[in-house]
Amino acid sequence: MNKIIKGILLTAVLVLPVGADVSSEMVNRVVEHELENGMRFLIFERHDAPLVSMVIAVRAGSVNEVTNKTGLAHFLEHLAFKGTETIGTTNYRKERKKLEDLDAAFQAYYNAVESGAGDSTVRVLHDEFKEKQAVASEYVVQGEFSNIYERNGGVGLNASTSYDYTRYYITLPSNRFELWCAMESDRLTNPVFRELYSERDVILEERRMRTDNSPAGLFYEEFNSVSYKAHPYGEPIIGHFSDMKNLARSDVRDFYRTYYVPQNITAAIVGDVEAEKIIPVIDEYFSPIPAKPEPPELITVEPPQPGIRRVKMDIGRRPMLYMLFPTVPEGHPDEIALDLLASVIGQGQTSRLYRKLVEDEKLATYIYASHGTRLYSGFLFFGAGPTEQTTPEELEQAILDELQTLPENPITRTELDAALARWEVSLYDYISSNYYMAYLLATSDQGNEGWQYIFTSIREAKKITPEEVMETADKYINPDTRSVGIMEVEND
Amino acid sequence: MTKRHALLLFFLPLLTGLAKTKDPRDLEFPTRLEFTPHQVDYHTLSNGIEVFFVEDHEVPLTDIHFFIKAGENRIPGEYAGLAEICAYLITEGGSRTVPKRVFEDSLKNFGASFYGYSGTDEASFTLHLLSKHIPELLPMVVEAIRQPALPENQLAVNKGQYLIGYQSRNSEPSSVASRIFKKLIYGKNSPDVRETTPENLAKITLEKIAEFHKANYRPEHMMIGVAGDFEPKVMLDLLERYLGNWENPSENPWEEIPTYLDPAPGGVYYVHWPEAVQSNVRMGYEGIYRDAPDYPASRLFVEIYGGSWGSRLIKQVRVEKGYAYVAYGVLSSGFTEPGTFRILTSTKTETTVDAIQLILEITRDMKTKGVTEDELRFSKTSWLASFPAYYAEPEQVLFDRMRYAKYDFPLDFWDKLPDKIEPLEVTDVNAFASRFIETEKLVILVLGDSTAFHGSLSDIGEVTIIDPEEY
Repeated sequence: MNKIIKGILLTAVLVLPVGADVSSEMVNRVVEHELENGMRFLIFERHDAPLVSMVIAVRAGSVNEVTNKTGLAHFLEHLAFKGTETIGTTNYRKERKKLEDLDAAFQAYYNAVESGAGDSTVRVLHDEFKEKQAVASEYVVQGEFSNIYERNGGVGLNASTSYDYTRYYITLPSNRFELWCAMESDRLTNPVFRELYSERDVILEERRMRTDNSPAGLFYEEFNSVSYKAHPYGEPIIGHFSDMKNLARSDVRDFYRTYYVPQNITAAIVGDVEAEKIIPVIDEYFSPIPAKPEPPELITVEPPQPGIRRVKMDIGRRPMLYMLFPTVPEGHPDEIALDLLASVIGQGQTSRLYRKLVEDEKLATYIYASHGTRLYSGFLFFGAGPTEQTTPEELEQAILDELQTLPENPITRTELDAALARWEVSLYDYISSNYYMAYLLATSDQGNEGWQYIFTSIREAKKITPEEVMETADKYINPDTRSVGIMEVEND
Repeated sequence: MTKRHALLLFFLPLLTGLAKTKDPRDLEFPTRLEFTPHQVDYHTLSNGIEVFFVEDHEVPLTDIHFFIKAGENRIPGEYAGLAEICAYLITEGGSRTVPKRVFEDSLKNFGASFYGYSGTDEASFTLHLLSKHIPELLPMVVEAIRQPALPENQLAVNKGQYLIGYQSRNSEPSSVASRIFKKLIYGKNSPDVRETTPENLAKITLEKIAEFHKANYRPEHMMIGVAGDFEPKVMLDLLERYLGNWENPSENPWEEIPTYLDPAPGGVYYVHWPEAVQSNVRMGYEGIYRDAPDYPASRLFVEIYGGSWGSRLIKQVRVEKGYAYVAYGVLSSGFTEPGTFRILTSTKTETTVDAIQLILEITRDMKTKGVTEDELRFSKTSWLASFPAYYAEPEQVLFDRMRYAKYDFPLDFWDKLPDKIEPLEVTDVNAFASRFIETEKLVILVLGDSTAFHGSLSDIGEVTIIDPEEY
């Protein structure tokens, strides 16, 4: 055995399992601050560069939408950049009235179109709507909200909407922390959803770009919709075209009033600030936000899947396979074992599936697995691309065959240790960045597990045995309750 | 107590509770924030390899980056893709003494990763790991770079992946538009954009890869950057031990091919995409050099034109007209060749022509009407205030220093830029716009379904039709 190999194998035995002292120390560096209204702040000091990253996570996403109103959470996220009663307007008192006139004009025009009114009626109503839009726009100071941030050196200004959360991001020079407080407390308290109709056109373009004009986007949307029968996770986050065209300012306002309540919001602040000094500033700006009632609970529960669900589309140039097994929501006791299972069987080029199906049998050009959890459910997901000689169906069967060999070829301690080592590196990768640390802190604080989970999960993971991982494999990998998506090559 | 006083007291807590905090527009801060970026240290191994260190001890991770001038621009057209495949074989194929699976398992067992790719002018490799495993894994990956195993089976896997990639290259319309646009800008056979065809793959053999590796992976073409939680003295000793004795091969390195090989003339280029609900639009031409005297002015020009939320493109194309979700313009600068000026948007089929006309108008206005005092003030303040973000993480400082060292630029080039930006005036930015903007040079690529356009592309210019299967 040569020197390099011997050195590697010897050390592997000596150093595993890895420790996690750094993450334990980091838990103690997080300062928690909760206001009387229920809004929470998590502060992590890091003085490397004169910058501070802030992420606000609101526990409100597309999962909270109802029939006819898909896309609402995302629409609100866009409109949250349009300003407040003071920012983005020359005179809100007058503007408000014009916005009401505008909404009435739009509704009249929309109703005429929907009811099949004559061309001339529609044209007149459309012109009236456009006229009111022009009048309302006279009061708008376009882009003022984002301009204030940019003028102050803000970078990474953006937001995103997921099934469960809406998040708002910014990184600022650290001497501008008070600016963030002033901007965000105003946005959370007095938003004005102006420029709604032109922004809707922007979002429709976003939908065309991500989904309607993209074979991969369309395929994902179809696959996702068959994977859920009852739960709103089956609806697209961006919304259905017909719903988006019908969303009104009052819908956005109602959603905001219901879900953007202080107890649903956590802000994480990571960077060159001193917790002791910024807490009084936080109190000054965010304490006045009034407490509000708890948002309604989501009632719908996805029933157990009674059989295989399948979607097949021939819209692409490259065959593709998706497969999913329902699992558990975040915070469930089986979650970590399922994360480890996915890591061993399908993550990276040393995973079981990659070696077997890509390198040895050459049935796939790529394959990966992941365990995803959300607030209300989770899934073990497989994505793969067949080689020229293989059909997606053959690849699907090959994956199932490989999964069924697990009992006779169980997961080993060595494999688990490798997955844990990768987990540790990945954890450090995330938490060494101000932005990602803020993102994780804010999101997980609003999640089922709390922010400490970011740091403690690895300790929990180390307690899990290979046998426990095998038990979860047996429990959740049930070929009779899978969802399958196959994208075939488009027929010319 | 009078009734009035009682009422006042009753409302006092409420009024206090809703007291208006400061208006963000009234808050003032100094524009420039003085700070010292992370310290980067420089060393040279005994064979001349330059080494750059930046320490960061917060988490026990280290990244060791190897940059080698062995990119696609040294590969003749018939072997297009060879440099990249070589880089993949190095990271996925093992080394002379460590077989592929032992190599991969060693990394895996320590939670480490070793990844690499080849760009146009260099190949780069990164070993990303827990610092305590450096002594075991560094020698292994260095051996893979110096003496890769190049196994046949791995080449077959990589070739299969390239083949599928080539066959599916016309799947996503936005990717097709980007590919064809780059080919128009640089020339179809430019090493930056050419594709690896089945014919190329047939010619890429292990022998050819070994020949390329032997001639082009040489210490005189290598730079190393290390960032993270390591002990510099120990790291330097390790690098010296495993790389210091590497000698340049007797073979000459393969000749470099320029990136701008055969740019297409300005005009409209159309790719028909039946039933597209949205058109992908790309516009642009050759950019500028990093050492151009008006490079500082170009930074403010691009902020105002299309590089920020407050830019003209975003404001007019997205916010005012609602034509697009994405609309931006960037102007990159090169060190040995010019960068590129690129405009990107996608808009629903019906508004394709209107959106392009609007972008052209905005572009022309930058040249003919120039920028305003307000725009200049805004862009300058924003650029100067955001300067620390350029050095947010230690690795960003490391890469910055390595980039300027690689091209023999002053290492503090970027540090001195704020002093050059601050005194700029409207006339400086307008002079740049006037020199740089030439709308007739714009290559305008449209991928969509013209049968549903409102208006005609021929109103914009002479249209050349491109077949994506051929291009």
